[in-house]
Amino acid sequence: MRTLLRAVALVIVVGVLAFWFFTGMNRGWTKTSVAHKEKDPVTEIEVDRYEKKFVPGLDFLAAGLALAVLAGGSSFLFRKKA
Amino acid sequence: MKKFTLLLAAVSLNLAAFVNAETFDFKDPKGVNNVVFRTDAPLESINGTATGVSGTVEFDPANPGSLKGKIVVDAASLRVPNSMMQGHLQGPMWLDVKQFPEISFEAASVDNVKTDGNKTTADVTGTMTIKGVSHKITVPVQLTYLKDKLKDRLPMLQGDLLVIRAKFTVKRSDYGINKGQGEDKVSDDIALELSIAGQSPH
Repeated sequence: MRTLLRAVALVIVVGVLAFWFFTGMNRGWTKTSVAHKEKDPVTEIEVDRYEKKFVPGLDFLAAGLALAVLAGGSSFLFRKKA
Repeated sequence: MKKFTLLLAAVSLNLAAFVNAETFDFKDPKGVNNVVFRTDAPLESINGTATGVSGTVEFDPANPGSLKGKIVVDAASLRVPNSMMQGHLQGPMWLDVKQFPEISFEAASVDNVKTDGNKTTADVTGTMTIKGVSHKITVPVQLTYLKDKLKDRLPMLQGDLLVIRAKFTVKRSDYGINKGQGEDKVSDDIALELSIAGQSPH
């Protein structure tokens, strides 16, 4: 059980870090939609158009790492097999 | 008789000014009209956009100082990039959009009018209402009058366009928006940037 929990913790750490890294290393809040600018050619007014997209932020990273610490930490509750 | 003639002339001039004023409708069929808000918070500033703009403005290109009208923003149209944050923003602690569905600004007077070509800058004083609380504020605006340009946006219609841009700041505590709460986390100042175009078909 100890080994399993530590393996789970490791998978969470690697998974969360990789996901955060490969989705653009967003150092702000997690986003569930992303804005892109659109300009009206006549009035020259720019407007943000939102499209659904999950972009993990530092809060996602912190929550993932906290979960990993919880999993790894709880492994110490189990005794080593004799 | 001379006095009567002068009075008649003055009334005629005023009527002429009134007649020349065009009414611009700011309900944009293309959904481009928007108000951007920005406020400082830990990690990064919170930015959002509201596109539910409506209202009418009377504007006379020959007499920009006579401008009057009301712009209304549908509070529920406000979007931020995080759905949980959006829920909080529209909830009872912040904008309470169910009870107060409209944010509005009604112009009362115009000062410091300067016109250069089709562009006019002015300070517009009026009543800003957010979450049911009204305050008189003065907003610097830029007006761009685009004569006969409506057909370029909407080919079925002939008419003029009026673009209004404004940047100003309000304090959320003035309007009872989560007053006194979390100002260490989310700034009391909310920067607003208005970019809207109205149409006057003829």
